Amino acid sequence: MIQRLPTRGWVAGGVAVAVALLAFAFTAADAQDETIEIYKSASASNSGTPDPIFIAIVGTDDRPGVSGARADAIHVVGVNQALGKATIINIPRDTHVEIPGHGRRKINESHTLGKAALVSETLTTLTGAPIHFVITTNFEGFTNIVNDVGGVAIDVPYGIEDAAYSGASVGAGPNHMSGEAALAYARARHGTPHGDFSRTSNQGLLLVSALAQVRGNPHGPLDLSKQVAILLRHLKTTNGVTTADLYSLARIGVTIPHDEVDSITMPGASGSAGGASVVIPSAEAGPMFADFADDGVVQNPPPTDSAGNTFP
Amino acid sequence: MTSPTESPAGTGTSTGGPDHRRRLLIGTGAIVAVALVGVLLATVFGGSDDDKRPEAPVVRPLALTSPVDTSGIIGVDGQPTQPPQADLDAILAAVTGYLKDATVTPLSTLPDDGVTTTAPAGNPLAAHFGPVAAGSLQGTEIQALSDAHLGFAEGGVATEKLTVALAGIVQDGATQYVDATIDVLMVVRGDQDVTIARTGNLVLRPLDGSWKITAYRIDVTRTIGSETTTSEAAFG
Repeated sequence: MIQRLPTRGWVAGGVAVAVALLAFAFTAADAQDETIEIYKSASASNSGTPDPIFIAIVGTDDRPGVSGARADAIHVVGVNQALGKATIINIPRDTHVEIPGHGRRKINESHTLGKAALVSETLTTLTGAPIHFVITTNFEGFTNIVNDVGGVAIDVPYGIEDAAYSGASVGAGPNHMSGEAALAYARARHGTPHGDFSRTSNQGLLLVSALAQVRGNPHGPLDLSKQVAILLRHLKTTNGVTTADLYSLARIGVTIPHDEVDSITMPGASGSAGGASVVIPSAEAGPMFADFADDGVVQNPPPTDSAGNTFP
Repeated sequence: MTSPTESPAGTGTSTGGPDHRRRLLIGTGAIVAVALVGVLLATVFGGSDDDKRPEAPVVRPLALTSPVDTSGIIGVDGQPTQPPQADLDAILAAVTGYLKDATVTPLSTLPDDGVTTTAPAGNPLAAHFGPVAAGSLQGTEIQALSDAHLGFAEGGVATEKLTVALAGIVQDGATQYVDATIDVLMVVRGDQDVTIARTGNLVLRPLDGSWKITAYRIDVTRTIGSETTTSEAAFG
């Protein structure tokens, strides 16, 4: 006997995942030569993407004339595939943390000291979340990626004029940034309301904007496979990243609805350590990280100002 | 459960001699006689309603209604390529194996065969999924992935359409993953026919020697008379 079906709405199943930079990277043209690196940590299995999955997105200052690349931009993306939600935690680069095996230092030194592997360990120590993948790119890679996709549209909350340092010159409101302009915007600390916190928040905003744009591009199975093939030809993969992993990550990146992604900057305060200016995580950071680590979603984010900054 | 009737094959010795025809006539006569006795006994003694059990439904085997589309399979150079036949066979077996256990088997299994006709405990679908994705097979999710909750279909199940299109990458002579776009249309016969249209994607990769579903996005539309319900399941 056929049972009558109850009337049901759509099962909440919109799989939302945030790997904006990776998704962006996948649309890059063939010109990329090892400017993108993906590291797979021991916590990532080979039996499919973990749920929740935690991905670190790192931008380094690796460029001609600069040795010992530091992590200039550090973001941890948590994705809960079952819930269809994602959270980007933006970590100020000067955050004073315990770097395993090296004592307390600025978090951006973790890349200098041990590349992606140590970045992964350090972020796990800080947040409690197992970092499954680390995606790293540098200034050149970031600029090329943005240019290759025709720039990025971003609604800038406040104008920044920082000709002396980052070179950023952007007005408030909708902007369409080239790779060079996006890089300057992502690096700008001067001319912002809250220095390093503002810069880190702006990077998160850039990621979410990039995500929204990537989702507008064709991303059927063959489109994604072609992009994975491009990446395979130019990607420096390490530590067992498989082609199937890349496809899974790409698929995750393009299926995220950007309105299901929260971008939260780690709450903290400026301080000093050893004579250097650092960021000290505030008391709210611990509970937020714990909330984040258990399922990739922060249920009660710290309060933010009108520009989305979270700080005491 | 209805098993397809198989025609004998490979019996081909020549026939036609007088002795053979005689044996054939005797054998046929015996079969007819036994059948007549059976009918007579049934007529005389009859049978109670309690003895009646549902007839096994007519099941149209789950089979592709058009050749698998492999035009989305490419090499690392981005050019179309054919997957190794062994990979293709294994992938199709995995896809149809899932669909069979999700739809045809539960719908066409008699209640007294010892198989429950509602969503069973210890989900049998889990065998088709990778360990991470298998963790999502619960709650309402499973009602999009499976038709087990519909129960036994007295009138049988017919697969009107099953197409599979594959995209994926062949690298170093082996298929690394596939994203299978499926389009399935089934008709379940009962008091009221139910039309089930199931479309979406299954991402599979080889795990421990067999192909498993590691991500999926499935949309299902079920129509009974004028009532239509839709549901969606997605993971990864």
